[in-house]
Amino acid sequence: MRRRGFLGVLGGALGWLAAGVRAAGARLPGAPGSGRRGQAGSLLLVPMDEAQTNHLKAYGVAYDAVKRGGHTEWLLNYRGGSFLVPDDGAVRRATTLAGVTVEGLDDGGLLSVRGTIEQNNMEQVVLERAPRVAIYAPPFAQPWDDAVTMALQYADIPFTRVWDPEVIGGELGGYDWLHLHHEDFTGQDSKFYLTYAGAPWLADMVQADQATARQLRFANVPALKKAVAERLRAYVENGGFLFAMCTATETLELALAAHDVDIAAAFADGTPMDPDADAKLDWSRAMACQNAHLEKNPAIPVFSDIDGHQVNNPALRQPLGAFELFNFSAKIDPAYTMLVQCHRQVIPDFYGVTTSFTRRTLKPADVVLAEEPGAPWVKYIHGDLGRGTWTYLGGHDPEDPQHQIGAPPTDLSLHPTSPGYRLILNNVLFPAARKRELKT
Amino acid sequence: MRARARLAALLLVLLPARAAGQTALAQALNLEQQGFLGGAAAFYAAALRAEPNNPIAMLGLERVSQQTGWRDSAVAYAERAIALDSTDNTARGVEVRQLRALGRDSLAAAALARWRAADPRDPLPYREWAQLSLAAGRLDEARAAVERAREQFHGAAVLAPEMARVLVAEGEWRRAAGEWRAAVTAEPQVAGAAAFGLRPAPLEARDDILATLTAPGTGAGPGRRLAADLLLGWDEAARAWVLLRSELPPPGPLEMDVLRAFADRARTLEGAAAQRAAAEAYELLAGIEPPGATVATRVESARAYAAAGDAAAARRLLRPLAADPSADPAGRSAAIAVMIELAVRAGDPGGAARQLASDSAALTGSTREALGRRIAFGWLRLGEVDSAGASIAADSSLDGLEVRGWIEVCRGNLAAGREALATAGAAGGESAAAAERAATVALLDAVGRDTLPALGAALLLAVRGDSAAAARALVPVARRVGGAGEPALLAWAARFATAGGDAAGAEALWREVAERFPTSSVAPASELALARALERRGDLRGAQAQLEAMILAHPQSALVPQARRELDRVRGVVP
Repeated sequence: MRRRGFLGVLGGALGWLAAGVRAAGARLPGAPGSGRRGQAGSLLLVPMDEAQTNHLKAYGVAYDAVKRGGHTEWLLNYRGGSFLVPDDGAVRRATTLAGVTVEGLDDGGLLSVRGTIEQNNMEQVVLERAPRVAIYAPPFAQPWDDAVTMALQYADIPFTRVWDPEVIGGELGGYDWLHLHHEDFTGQDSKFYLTYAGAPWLADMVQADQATARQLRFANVPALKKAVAERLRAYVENGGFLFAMCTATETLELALAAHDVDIAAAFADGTPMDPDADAKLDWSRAMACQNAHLEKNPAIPVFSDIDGHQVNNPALRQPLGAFELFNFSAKIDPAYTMLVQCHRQVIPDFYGVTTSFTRRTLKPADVVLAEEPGAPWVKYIHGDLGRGTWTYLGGHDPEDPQHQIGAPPTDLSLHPTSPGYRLILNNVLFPAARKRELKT
Repeated sequence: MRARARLAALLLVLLPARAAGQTALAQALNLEQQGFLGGAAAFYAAALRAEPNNPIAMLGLERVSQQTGWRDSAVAYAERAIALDSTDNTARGVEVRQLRALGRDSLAAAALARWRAADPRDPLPYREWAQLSLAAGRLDEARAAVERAREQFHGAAVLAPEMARVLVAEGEWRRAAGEWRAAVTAEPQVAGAAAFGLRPAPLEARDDILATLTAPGTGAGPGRRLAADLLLGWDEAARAWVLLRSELPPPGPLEMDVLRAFADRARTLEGAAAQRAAAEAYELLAGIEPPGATVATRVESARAYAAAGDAAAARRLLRPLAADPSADPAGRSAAIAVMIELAVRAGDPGGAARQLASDSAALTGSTREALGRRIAFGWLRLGEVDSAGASIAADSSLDGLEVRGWIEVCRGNLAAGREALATAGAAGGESAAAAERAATVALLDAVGRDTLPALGAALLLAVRGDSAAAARALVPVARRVGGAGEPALLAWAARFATAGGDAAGAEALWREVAERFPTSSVAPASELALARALERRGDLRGAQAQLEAMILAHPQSALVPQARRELDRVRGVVP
């Protein structure tokens, strides 16, 4: 696995910015003579360090500014990954309503900010285009919350829900960023078949999944989910940004590796798992993982040893610790740096059906964004496939470390400065900074 | 701080070993308390160099080592202590725990084996290992440790608490209950841990747990008492009391301990059933306690009956105590006080005043004054302002001054009332009362009149519990007062209208304040209240617009954070 490396994803934008910084005294954005004067006007700094009172809504403010075409910059590593947004009526209104802290900047202040960035491990990135966001989520209610849906709703970032018919129907091309959460791409409904036998929500879920499989002409749910997994892989290869959390990460990897082997238990597809399934997995198809071993017991809601914490296997369950974000070189690795912008370097861990990723099962090309020092697992990983990228964050809900099925959803208005939720929102803005064409 | 630590370290070398150890230990505890863990670790180590088997220093070093990541150090000191005294179980435990925490499982297992060999009759090493395994989620290892201990010590109840925790982790509630039953039978002191362990059981497992705990046979008594404790926690106080009463230990100290523990716990719970269970348990306890303790227990029983809404039962217990001049003075005083409070609560301040007068000699001065204030409020609730004033005529305390302030306000003597309430202060007493005082002072400041009988009369209606009438009475007063007083009084009228159930009237008043007096000090609160009124009647779009308007118009208001949360909720972006 790689920790560092230059992706060059930002291309010309950074070259321009570097030139802008070098000439800061004469050609500040917003200064007379600047080519961007017309669109920039005066700027507001949205600090993202401890001075910020609502980090999560700040992302929505930045997103909205980009969407409205205003000149917006992400100041990587500067005061926790601050933003520069236009000082206009819409931003003022939005920040007042949201309780987002902003600071006015005169030319001298802006010059000082640019100088600080130039001289330190910091970088400035222009956010060019508001990503079109899709969330892969079923049309029926689930007895657990989805951290990304909650984060986007709270931050006022618009999104569209897509489900199997849209994915199989080839509609993903209309979106820059796709999120997956608790979905089980092995088609076994999280292996809750025995643990929650008789629960009405599980019965509804199984019935809805089977109906979708029939509607889309698949023999069973595992076959449908394998096809969905392949479409997701193709979406990334074609330039999409995929962000997954919790079970979706691990089961997507397993579904991709199992394209020609039955890894589903009999309750899901009528036949037991292939006894040699482990040996038959084709890890060349997976994006992030390799050499994992499947959990063969259908009664244990655990999928494989990709997950280090094994929360649903009492015999192997590991306690929660804290994970640490890597400090990348902002000027050399701005892409990775974006994904780890936070006002906290160390964040308390949180469980999910998949909580973490064992180091042993990571592919060498994976970039580790956060890890628990000394532990045999990491928390947050990223990589490229074709012209796109994937990013995985283990765990279910950063502000509900022991999230239980049926527990009430997290009220983010009580966690407006959540460092864990910031990681999710970093991913949403990540595609906004990208310069080159996303997909063919 | 660092200089102080260096000086203390220097002094250590000048002291004899044991004294130096004690000084270092004191310094370590002090530094740990202040959060200087690195310094604390150094001083704990110094204390252990002087006294290698000092358990306080050993456990202190273990604590701070965990947080500073210096676990290796703790292991070294533990091994030194064991070398000097192989029976030092504190050091043995530290060695095993720290090796496990360091991930050196094979070394930890070897340390455990040495511990077992050092004293083969002691199950403590097995318990330590089982607990460590449980903490790490290694249930199989924990179970194996328990089973090995049971094999060696030939007892089904050996390490029962640890086995119960394994079973709880596996969702085996019925079998866990069986283990806890065995545990509380062998060691009654673990009853609290047993209840704590079983209380989170899901609804569907509770009947099984209760059946296991209450089944006949060995341990039925402790098991049923544990079941009673669980039922209390599961909001089934009446059933808990029936079960406990049927299974009390034989007369003696244990019976009294069981009754008191149950009653004390039930008394802390909400609801009439829990209070009645507490009352009956206290009453039973009072009947078997030694004479010196029984009066206080009877008074507590009466209080619990009163809290359960059974004033007659409370009086039944209190009357003989209050009338008995030979009773314990403190108990008699408490009984009289509770009887007076009951009379006030029943709307009979006159009866309360008569009892206070007749039993005055049995009460201390401060108790008399406190009861006088209760009686004064009782009179105010009846609208008898002069009688209220008479009840506190001799009360010169700060609390008395507050009551006097309310009385003056109700009389319409606003300046005198304001001065008394302001002197009583915004911070004293209960926070709700303090907030009410502060709000009233602010209202009187806005009104700016020395006397205004119509305002006093309107507020007295509110004190008497007729909020709707108070709202109606305040509006014309507000119109007449004008100026800054008008929006303030209208806002109060809106509050009373809400309390009186007149939602439409309240909404109209909040809207009037928001629209006619947008820069008044009560405008932010009125706009927030208006948004809430709109939300209550289902106009979410209107509520959203109102909240946005409020936040944008008053961005510096202390109410804005709350308005933002409510805006998120109204918009559906948070639950």
